Amino acid sequence: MDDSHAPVILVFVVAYLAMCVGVGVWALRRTTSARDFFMAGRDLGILVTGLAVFSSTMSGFGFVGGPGLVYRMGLSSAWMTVISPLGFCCVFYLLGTRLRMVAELRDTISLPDAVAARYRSERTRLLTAVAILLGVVGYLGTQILAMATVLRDVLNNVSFIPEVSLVTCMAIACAVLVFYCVTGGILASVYTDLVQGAVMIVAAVCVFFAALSVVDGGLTGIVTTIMEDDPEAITPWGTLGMMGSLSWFVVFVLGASGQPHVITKLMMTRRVEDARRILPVSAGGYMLCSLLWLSIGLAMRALVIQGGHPELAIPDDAAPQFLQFHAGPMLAGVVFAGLFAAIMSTADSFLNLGAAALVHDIPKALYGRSLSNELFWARVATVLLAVGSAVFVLYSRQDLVALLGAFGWGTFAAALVPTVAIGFNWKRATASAANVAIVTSLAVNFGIELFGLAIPYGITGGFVALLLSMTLFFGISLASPPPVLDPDIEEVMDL
Amino acid sequence: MMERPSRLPLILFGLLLALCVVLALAFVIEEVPFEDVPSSAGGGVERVYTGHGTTHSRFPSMNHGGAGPERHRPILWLAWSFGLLQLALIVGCLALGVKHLERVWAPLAVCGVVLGLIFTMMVVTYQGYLDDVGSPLFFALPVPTAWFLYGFWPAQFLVVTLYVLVFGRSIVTREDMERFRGIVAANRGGQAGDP
Repeated sequence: MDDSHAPVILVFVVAYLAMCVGVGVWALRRTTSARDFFMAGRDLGILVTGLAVFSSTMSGFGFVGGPGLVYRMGLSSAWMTVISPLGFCCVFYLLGTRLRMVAELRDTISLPDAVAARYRSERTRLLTAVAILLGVVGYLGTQILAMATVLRDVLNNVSFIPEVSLVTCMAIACAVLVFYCVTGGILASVYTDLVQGAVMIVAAVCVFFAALSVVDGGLTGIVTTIMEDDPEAITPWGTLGMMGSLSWFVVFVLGASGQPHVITKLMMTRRVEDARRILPVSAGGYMLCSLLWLSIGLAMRALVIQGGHPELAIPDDAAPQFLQFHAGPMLAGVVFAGLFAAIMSTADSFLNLGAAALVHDIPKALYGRSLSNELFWARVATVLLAVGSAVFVLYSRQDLVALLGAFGWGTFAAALVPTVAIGFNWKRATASAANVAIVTSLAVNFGIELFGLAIPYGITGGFVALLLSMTLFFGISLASPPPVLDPDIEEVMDL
Repeated sequence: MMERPSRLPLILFGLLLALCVVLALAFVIEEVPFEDVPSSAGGGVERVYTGHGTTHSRFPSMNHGGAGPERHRPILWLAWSFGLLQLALIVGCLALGVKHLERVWAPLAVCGVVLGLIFTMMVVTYQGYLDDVGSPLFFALPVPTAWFLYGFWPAQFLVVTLYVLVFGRSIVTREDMERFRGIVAANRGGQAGDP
């Protein structure tokens, strides 16, 4: 790394982490109940919710894994990010008002609460909570690891700081994350998301222009270089091909409406009608961040082919190496802060979801009531989840972590799209169909990953799981007698 | 209040079944190209399919797409159907979330048709690209990629704009909100349901 880069990046990162701690202290005074802790008192404004929705969607995977995928596969992974406006449309058309109404009607504090109210089924609540918890452990562990890895790179490049181990960095990362999540709950999480979202947008736009300028000829130079090496890489299907990349289309569009860290935020808005203005904020913000995903990956692929940069050891190095060697120190500082923002904004949402599943939903489904002194136990569960995920990541096999990380989005999509996104808009959907859909999605997702089953044409396992769970959900519901709903839920679903 | 058309779930179920058929065809139509290599588990040969990318010969951290005509020409129609069916499923699901569909189905259908046409242009121009890789760029991108990034990407904001424009008339009307307030008040006054 350039000597001038490291201290500047460190200043930005430390300032960012200090800001997170400050927000935690501020939010502590405003968090007095479990409802505040999990639902932010259901009082979030348009801009806060809009930025929180998109910034928790764009995780460390988007800022690190995304450019890495473009570097490795060309434009194949554009089917995960370029289609995001349709994904946010699915979230808002299907759940923007409906979920918020059920949340207010029944004063729910978690997604499984709303599911239990919709289906009148504790079993569906339990399965939803278990699916969320399984996905959370995988996602959270990989986010903490990613954060610690980036922090170690930053600290070890500063000459006056002695060598720092990954475990130490993991402890620092966990401490900051846990502090603001434990003290301020989801309120601290969404207000840091507000700053995180803004930082991510600025970083993405700056990086886009920087990436275009590092290769002679700008975008034309990048495209021509890639095309001469492999004409397929720069087509809309990339190196993966048509069927494989298109299988990501529906998983990432419909699947967005099954991501609990995204849709739970819809239950926290001040007014039902705010959904109208939140959608363009979220979709626009994510679109701008996608510029970073695409531009760094394409620029690094072209640079390596031209010999302007040595080949990367692993594709995930694309973004960090670009920042270290091809961006100015100020820009690198902003983007590294943006990188932390992307990782932490997703991790804090998962901590909150996991804590709710542990202290509220699973006990309620099993014993008919949640734990007494829920706020205290929610804070304890947050600490345990963060520490447990970090320990799990440290001591589990690397491929298992990768498995669980990849498992996250697909699990949520296949399990929750039918149960939540469709079920809250279709009165005919039954609890049995929802239960079968959740179990099928878990079995198929786990089965494909665990046994390494290869699907022709590179079609993703998440697509197969989503297709099967949705088909079974519709088929079973259509073949069953119409379910009996609680009168108030039925009235809200008629609106 | 008008009931949501009951045919829509049936249509969505039909689309899902059609996608199951496409998936089944993907298993039946053998992927090309492939090569038979000695099995790592002992005797015999193992068939390795390279139609969804191979390791780049000079840069192992990258993948290489291989020959587009060889791998894509036999399944171009299948991939086109695959994409259009998914798009129809997505638009159908969006329609499921619209309460007053009778007021908005036409513009929503137009959005779906526009996206479908752009997707079709991506496939059609890609077919031309397979025949002539040296064809000129359109604003620095190959033509099929230009349709994707300059066409499909911004065109999705038609659906975003539609939501903003029709929200008060078709998603949640003022009357809906008044009714909702009444339901909440009745619920709070009576036996509040247990979440």
